[in-house]
Amino acid sequence: MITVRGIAKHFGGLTVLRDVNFSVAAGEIVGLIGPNGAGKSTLFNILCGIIRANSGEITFEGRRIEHLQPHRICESGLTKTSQIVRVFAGMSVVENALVGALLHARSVAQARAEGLAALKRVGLSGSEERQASDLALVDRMRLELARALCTRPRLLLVDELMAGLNAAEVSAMLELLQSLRDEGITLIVIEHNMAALMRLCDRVLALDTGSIIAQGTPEGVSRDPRVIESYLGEKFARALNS
Amino acid sequence: MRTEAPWGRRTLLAIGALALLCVPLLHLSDYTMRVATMTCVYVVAAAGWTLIGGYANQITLGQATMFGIGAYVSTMLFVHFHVSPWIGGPLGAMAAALAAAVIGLLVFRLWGAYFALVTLALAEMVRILVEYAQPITGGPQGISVPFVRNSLWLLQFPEAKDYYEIAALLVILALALARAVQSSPLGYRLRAIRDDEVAAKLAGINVFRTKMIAFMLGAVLTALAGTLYAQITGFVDPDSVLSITLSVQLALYAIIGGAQVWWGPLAGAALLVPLGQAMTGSGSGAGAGLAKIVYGLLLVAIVVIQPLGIAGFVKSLQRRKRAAPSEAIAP
Ligand SMILES: Nc1ncnc2c1ncn2[C@@H]1O[C@H](COP(=O)(O)OP(=O)(O)OP(=O)(O)O)[C@@H](O)[C@H]1O
Ligand SMILES: [Mg+2]
Repeated sequence: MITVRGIAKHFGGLTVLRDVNFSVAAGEIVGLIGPNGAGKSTLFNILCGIIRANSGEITFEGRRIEHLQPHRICESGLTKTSQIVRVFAGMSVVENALVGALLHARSVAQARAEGLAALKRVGLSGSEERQASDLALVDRMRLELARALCTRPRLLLVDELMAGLNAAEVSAMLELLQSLRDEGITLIVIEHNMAALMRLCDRVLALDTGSIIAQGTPEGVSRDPRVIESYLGEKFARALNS
Repeated sequence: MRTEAPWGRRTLLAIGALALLCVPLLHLSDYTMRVATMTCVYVVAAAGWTLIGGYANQITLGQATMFGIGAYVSTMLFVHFHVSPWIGGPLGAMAAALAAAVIGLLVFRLWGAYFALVTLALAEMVRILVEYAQPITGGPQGISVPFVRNSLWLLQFPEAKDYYEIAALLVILALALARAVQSSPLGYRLRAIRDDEVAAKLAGINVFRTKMIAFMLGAVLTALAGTLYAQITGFVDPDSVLSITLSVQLALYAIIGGAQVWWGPLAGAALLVPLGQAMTGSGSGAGAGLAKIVYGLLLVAIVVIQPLGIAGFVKSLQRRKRAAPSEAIAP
């Protein structure tokens, strides 16, 4: 589905990604973990074309995309939801979703219908006419997911969608993401909630010091000494301190 | 709002359009009709600004370039080649769209962060070019449109008020277009860009192309207003049709009226053009100075109280009215 080779990215003197290589097969749900500042969100932005890598190749469904504009990448079936939620604050909830659907719909009316269906899926029925900026953070994250779904992605990147959800909401979100996979959407999920990741993912990639340091089953990666040292250890330490 | 019967809203709009066309039946003074006619011209020009400046919040301070191109192209064709403004106007609009394409290519691709400043600088460049091209443009002195005869084909009438019906028709066309854009896919894409450009890209919107289309469409409207202006005043010079003052005025009409909705330029120009005319009419001295201060304070007051202009006032009133019943049952 997607193959990433030799991605490097520096911001000025700061090297965030040094040499990132991995690939994801169609139908997989892959987790992406790593300590704060490891460059996970940066990697997503590169995949979506929002920022350019300094070097490296990205092949999506057999086609090189690293030089494409974001809207072209989205058209070809790859988009993401953002860690820092991005909704169109001046629009109503349904209009937000509708904008995503305009990519394929032939009319605003059709896009609206698709938008309503997507809102129902993410659990935002009843809020359609509310102003997007009036929604709680969790609902704005759901709305961004609905908008992304409306563009009909085949590969969806999800950046910390479960932050701030309670246990029941996490379960509902996991179910939703699994149902997306059942429909044929491949997922890469950035998530700090390890328990949720264990339940959701077929495979986990661990990113640290600019490259993928470990990958495999969730259990395998969580036992990997390098991962424990760089990431999980830090998390345990934080858990102990709090 | 969507629950309202759509024909009800349409009927209301049709009545409004008809009322606009019927203003001459009121037998207002020549002066008032002249002001009404000029107001129509500026409504159309500001509507052109709204498409890009309001809908997409890409604040251009060079819209006078489009107005000037419309005015100069039709006037030069008329003076040098006796081409009717009915042909010169659309040609001017095409020239303005072309200019918008070139300017858009520069600002949307290269210098997006400085959009307002770059459009202002480019507009000044156009003005200087026109002043240098004296043999064909008349240079800083401008060109007069010689009065040939009273003729619809030549778009020439003895008095400004005689242009009213045509100006009102152009207003109706321009606002119909602005309204259609607002509820079209293009309108939604522009709003998305206004709210969050990165999110718009992630939703698959071609941000560059969307801005270009709106900028060029707006250029066409403003240029047509420029042609009409030249015919009404019978005189075109860089100061009146290519100045920074005009660019700022057009932006102001749209912003004060509410640049995010199609009728904002109508509300803004209908308020500010007559006020401005009254001020220039009030001569010099303390009275005129006071009038200008009041005008300035009014602008500041509107923008401070309601940044979304008159349309913003109306919207918040509507929202309050809708919210009222639920407030009544709240403890
Ligand atoms: N536009 C930018 N300019 C400069 N530095 C940046 C930019 N974007 C990110 N960085 C830096 O790059 C590093 C990686 O950031 P990134 O957001 O990708 O991390 P992350 O793995 O997503 O972390 P988190 O788990 O906290 O979300 C950080 O040090 C960040 O400060
Ligand atoms: Mg991040």
